[in-house]
Amino acid sequence: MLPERSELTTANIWADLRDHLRWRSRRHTSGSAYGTLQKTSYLLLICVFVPFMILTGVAQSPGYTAAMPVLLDLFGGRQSARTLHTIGTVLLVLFVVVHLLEIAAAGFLTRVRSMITGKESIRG
Amino acid sequence: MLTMSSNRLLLSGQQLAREYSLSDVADPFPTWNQTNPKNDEYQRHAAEGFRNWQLPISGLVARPSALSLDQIKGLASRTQITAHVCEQGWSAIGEWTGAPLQRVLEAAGGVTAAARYVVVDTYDRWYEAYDLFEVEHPQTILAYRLNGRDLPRGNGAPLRLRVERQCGYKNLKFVKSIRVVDSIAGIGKGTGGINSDAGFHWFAGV
Repeated sequence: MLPERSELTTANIWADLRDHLRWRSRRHTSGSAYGTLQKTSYLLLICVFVPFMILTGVAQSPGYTAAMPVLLDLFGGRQSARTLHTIGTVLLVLFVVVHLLEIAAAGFLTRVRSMITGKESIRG
Repeated sequence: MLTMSSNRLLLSGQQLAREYSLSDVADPFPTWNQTNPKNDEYQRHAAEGFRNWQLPISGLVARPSALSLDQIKGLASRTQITAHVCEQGWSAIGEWTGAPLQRVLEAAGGVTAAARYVVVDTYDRWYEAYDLFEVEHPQTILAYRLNGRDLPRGNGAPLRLRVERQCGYKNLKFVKSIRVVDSIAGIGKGTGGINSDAGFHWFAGV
């Protein structure tokens, strides 16, 4: 899931973005089946976004904030945490929509089958 | 169950919910949901300024009794500036002054060994049950003052229960009576609260 060094050039990221926007099949510049932007967004989701959602969620709890008041300080209070959490929800929904669109573009059944069997099928 | 276990594990030191300063207080304090119970007995007492009102304490206590508002005010009081966190999404900070529920129960001789829950009934037909861990918490008080003034009717006069580590709906307004029991099974739908009977969580510490 980690992008390789060779992938993280401006040129490559820009090319990947252009491919996405033009709805063009991905060129794979590394050995992985995942594109650069894809890897980046997945990493951000799992390592940044999900912890963020968990923390902004828990920061709204009168019970958990009694045990960990630092959560209130982190986000500037319960209401701020709530706003951030809601904004995060919208972003999450956007992620899912884009995710589903990309899967559809890559072939829904092939991707789902690969997800279950672990075997890639290379498209012509 | 999982939430409550993890929550209680973290709170085993009976830590206090954050207390704020006077400058953080919302004044006037929001009034939501029921603000004036249509109960005849309540209206009569409210009209008299709760002069003749009494809080019955029954069930598994050494000396079932009834305390007047003056008697409750005569018990050791606690003032706390805390946030009321509503399930509906809003929160507001208020300065509450009241008698710790623990002290009120002690005025009735304290709970017996068999006691497990304290059930609070209100004038607008709400009830909620609390376990002893919550009852013993220093911030669990029966508040009779809000923001330096007598608790207004809209905010739950004569007494409003504060349970600072749980959501707003456990902080009952218009407290009418207290019963100490060993089981919540036979009360309401047996879930331990009018809100949990309706599908909300009995334990609102999340």
